[in-house]
Amino acid sequence: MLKKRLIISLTFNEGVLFRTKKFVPDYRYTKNFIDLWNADEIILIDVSKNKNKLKDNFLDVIKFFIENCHLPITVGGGINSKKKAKKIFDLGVEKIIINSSTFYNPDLTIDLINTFGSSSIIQSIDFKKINNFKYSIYVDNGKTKIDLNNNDYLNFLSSLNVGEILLNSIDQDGGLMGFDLNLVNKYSGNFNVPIIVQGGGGNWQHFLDILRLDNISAACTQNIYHFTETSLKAAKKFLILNKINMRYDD
Amino acid sequence: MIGVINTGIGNVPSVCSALKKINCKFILCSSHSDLDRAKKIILPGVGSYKTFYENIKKKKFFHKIFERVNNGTPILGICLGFHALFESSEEFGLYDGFKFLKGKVKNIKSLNISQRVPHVGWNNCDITQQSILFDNITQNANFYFTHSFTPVNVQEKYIISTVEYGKKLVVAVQNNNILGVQFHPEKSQKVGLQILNNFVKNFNA
Repeated sequence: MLKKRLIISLTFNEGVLFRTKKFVPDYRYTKNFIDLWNADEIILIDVSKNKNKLKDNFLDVIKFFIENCHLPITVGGGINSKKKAKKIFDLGVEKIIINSSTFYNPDLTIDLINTFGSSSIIQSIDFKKINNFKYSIYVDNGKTKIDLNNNDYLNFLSSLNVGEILLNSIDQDGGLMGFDLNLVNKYSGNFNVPIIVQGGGGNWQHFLDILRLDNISAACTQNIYHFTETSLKAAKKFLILNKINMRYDD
Repeated sequence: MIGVINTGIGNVPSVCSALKKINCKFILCSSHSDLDRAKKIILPGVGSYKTFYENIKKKKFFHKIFERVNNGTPILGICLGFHALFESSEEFGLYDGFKFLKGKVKNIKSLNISQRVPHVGWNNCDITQQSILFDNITQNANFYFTHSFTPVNVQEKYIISTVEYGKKLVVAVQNNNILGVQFHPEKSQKVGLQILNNFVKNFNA
């Protein structure tokens, strides 16, 4: 049976690991990621300013992970051309995340799918809460609200045949207050590909709440305190104890 | 010396870094003369079969690999390299495989399962037949998968492992010197490195 996944998402500014939310640079952890033996997957995001995205310092980070972690690695942040995508894949990365570029240039996304395979492309979608029942979709790192009906846009994204969908809650991001279950329930039915949820995972109960949903394949954590071997092991033990089907290797 | 075919796409560097980790001598094959030095072949691939196929055709590897394998050189196909062992693949068109094994590669959706496609993540392998490839691997060990296509109508006698995903998917095969795995050993941590180790160090056709 396919296991649910616990994914670690790391954000980098010009090649240096950053925490989310307040973005205080933190150098201490980077070298400790060599053996994330209990993470199921790693996401590396370049959060540098646009002109500094996907430069050598970040590419070196990717190379470091490819050489040291024999785990699936996904890369995102500013991939808006086929050339950039190829550069990332050529390093040995399995999957890339795209977000705004599909909104501005869907033909590129189609081209990426045809070239690199649909299972290699993850479409990330950023949601911002208007009230308890309504959400807006944003692009450009949460700066631009899209001028389309949510369902129209989501159905359009679904029709492109991307490999996975990453639902991200801007409000919950970095807050550690739990995933936005309401958001997930509202929109996960729009897609028939695996769905990853990000934003708000603070404690293990939060991960249980989200991974318990049939529609959800994976949960992502950006919480730096989860990035230790014992922490992830404890998380998986807790989830398995609560009947979530997870991979657990001693 | 292991020859890793430089398919120009996907997971080649990851396969190389996994081989480094297990202290295996390898050569990244970009030309026929590189390939001539290889005693065994690893054919990696992640992404789209169309691109994969066009790249190995372009570099004139297709015939060369075919010849070597027919003459008994062991080959391990990974993901798209696994698909290439069969007759054809329907990913973005209809493309030839090496036809080393009977079977056609089709979209998992065509199996009419309710599961989401692609099949992505860790799944436990049911080892259905003994093979050196699975030496020191426990039954139901988890491997990492990411694929939308799967071989169908594979001859039972060559299947060495399956996974459950709505239906049983064929995920590892062996016919003498020809081996292939759907999962990514280079991305499956300890068990994956063990698979590569079994192929490069212990396997003799």
